[in-house]
Formats: sequence, structure tokens, C-alpha cells
Amino acid sequence: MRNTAAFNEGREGDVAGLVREVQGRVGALADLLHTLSEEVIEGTDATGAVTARVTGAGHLLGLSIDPRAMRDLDHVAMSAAIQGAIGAARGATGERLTKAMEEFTADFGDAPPSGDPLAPYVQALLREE
Amino acid sequence: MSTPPSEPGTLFVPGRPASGPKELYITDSSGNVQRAVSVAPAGSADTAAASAATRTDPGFFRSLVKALNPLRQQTRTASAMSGLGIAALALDVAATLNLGNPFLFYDRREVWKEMGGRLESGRSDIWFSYFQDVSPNWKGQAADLLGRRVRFNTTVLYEKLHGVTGEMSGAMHSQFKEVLEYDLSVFGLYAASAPVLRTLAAMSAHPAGRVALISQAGVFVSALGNLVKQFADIYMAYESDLNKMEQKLNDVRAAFYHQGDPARGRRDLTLTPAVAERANIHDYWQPANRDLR
Repeated sequence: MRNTAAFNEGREGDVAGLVREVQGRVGALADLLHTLSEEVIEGTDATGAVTARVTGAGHLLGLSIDPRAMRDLDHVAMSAAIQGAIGAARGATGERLTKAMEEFTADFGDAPPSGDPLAPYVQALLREE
Repeated sequence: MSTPPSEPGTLFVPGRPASGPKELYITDSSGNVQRAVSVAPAGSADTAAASAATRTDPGFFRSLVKALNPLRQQTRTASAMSGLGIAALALDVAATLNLGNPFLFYDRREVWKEMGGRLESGRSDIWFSYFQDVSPNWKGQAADLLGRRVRFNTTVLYEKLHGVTGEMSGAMHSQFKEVLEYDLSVFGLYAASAPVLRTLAAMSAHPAGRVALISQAGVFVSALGNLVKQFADIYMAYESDLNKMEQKLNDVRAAFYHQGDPARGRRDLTLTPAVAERANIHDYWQPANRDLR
């Protein structure tokens, strides 16, 4: 990421090298999203009666309902349990995505640049008559 | 315009224009001034170039940067949140650094075009002055020398210079077009992407919004990367063209300076002052109709 660092510090670098680095970063991020979308993540409602399985992209794959829930829950409680399970599974997907993104940015050693390195030039240009 | 035969007009020959009026007077064999051709003073080319170079900038570039900057800040914020992080921010810097003021090239195009026009009109003035006014009316060694000078020296040098001005004007126009197209493409991409990225950044607390932001930022960064890469390729192609132009300018320099090096002094391209030497003037300049008289 030599060229990336050069441009972020307001220095000139190799444009072709920068584009290669950026495309590598975009490709790595796309691979990460693809891998996440193929993962299966489970979530369970508060009672533990219903378990939902969703993909990393949030698509519902299936539900598992404890046989005892058929006896203990009426149709209203069952509906709430299913919603809770799906919500929990999708919430876990978000947490998985957040964790994966943290690892991804840590792998690239991102230290966000302090502000816009071109700000002084832009301000100087805009001040000109 | 004519002068009485007792007061012949001054024959103002090339190579001796240092003093006196800045006009070339053309006389017939009787010494009557037929017409006068304006000869630009030595400094006028520089003055004209300077005036063209200081032509008013329409403010395009400043307006572009002023409009682009808020869009850049929105996309930078969204890119930082997308996970593309410093890579996207670096590409934003590269894309912005490569923006240029196309009117700098427009001005240079006009300067070279004006120079080309002045060179061609100067060459035509000399050519037609000789073949319409001098050649039919005068003969003798000086007239022949002047003829050879016009045919093989002045015309060749002018044509070389005119060729360079034409190609430089064309190269400057191409660069003006490419820089303008790049500026407008970058601005168009930011203008189209910034509102979407800003909205998605606001939605990124939700996983679906986060994924959408990452995807959209990826599309934006890829498109911006392609633009910058294409512009870099075009830049390299023009470097090659300008290198060829430099070689042609070296050729022109070789025609005007000893060994093509200004430090070694100019070649003597002036017409010998002997053509106007009063002692021999009647031998050198003979009226073409003298035999008929």
C-alpha cells in the first residue's frame, strides 16, 4: 500500500500502482462479502423455542421449532417467537459483518488520514481572484 | 503610392531591418514605391504571445473545484465508513490532483495558432513581394541572390517553423480536449455518486445498509480508478507526442544556431549588406526593362 500512503499524505505517487492497490482492496472486500453471504448464521428467539437459519446476506434458509413449542405456544406467541428468531439471526449477521470488517481493516493496517490532504490547495485556489 | 523619379524610395532589404521605419518599401525599376509591407518589430511576437497567455481565464477550473469539493467530502466520509478506507481516500486524492485547468492548454493552442498565422503571412508577404514586385522589375546579381534567398532559405525556414506551430497548436488542442473531458468525467461521477453514498452512509447502522454502502463504494471507487488509469494512459501517449515535437524543435534549432546550440551563437542568416552598397548598386540592381529602353 505504498502508493496509497503517498497519495493520502498529499505526495505524488505512481497512479497505475495506486489503481492496482485500490482494485486489490475492492477485490478483497468483494471476496469477503461473497464469503459472508455463503455463511449460515443461526438465531434463536428469547424462549429458545424457535431457531432461524439465514445466509450472510440475510436470506431465510429455514426454521426449527421445538415440538414442545407447539404445545406451549398459541398462534400469537408462535408468530412472535418466529419473528424473534429471524430478527436474532439477522442481528447475528450484522454482528458477523461488523466483526469481519474490523478484521479486514486491521489486516490492511488502516490508519485514517487526518482530514483532506488537499484542503490547503483547494482553499488557496478558491481564495484566488 | 508613388514617389517622383528624382526621389527614389528606400529599398529596405531583409537582413537590415534594425533601424528606420518598420515597413518594407517595394519599388519598381524606376524607383517608384509600389507598395509598403509592414514588418513586425522584433519584440512583437513575444508581446503577442504574452497577451495571449494572459487571456482571461473564464473561471471554469475554479468553479469546478468549488462545486466538486463538497461532493468530495461526502464521498470521502462514505468511503471511510465503507471499509475501503484509505485506499478509496488515496484514489480521491489522485483523481483530484490530476484535475487540470483546460484553458491553460486552450491559451497555448491560441498562442501557437497566432504564431503560425503570423509566420505564414510573413512568408507570403516576402514571397509575393519578391515575385510580384522585385523579380519582374529588377535583374542583376543582387536580384538573383535575393531570389535564391527567398526560394531556398527564407521559405524553407518559415515552412519548418510553420510546421512546428501547426503541430504544437494541434497537440495543445488535443490536451485541452482531454483535460476538459477528464475534469467533466470526474465531476460527473462525483455528482452522481455523492448523494447515493451519503444516503447509504446514513443507513449503514443496519447490516443491509452497510452491505449496500460497501457495494456502492466499491462501484464508485472502481469507476474512479478506471478514469484515473485512462487519463494516465492518455497522458503517457501525449508525452510520446511531445517527445516527437521536441525532436522537431531541435531540428529547427539546428537550422538557426551553430550545432543546434544557442550558446554557440546564431547562424548568419542575413542577406549580405553588399546588395545595397552604393558603389556597386547599378551593377547589382539593373532595371529589367533597361535593354528595352
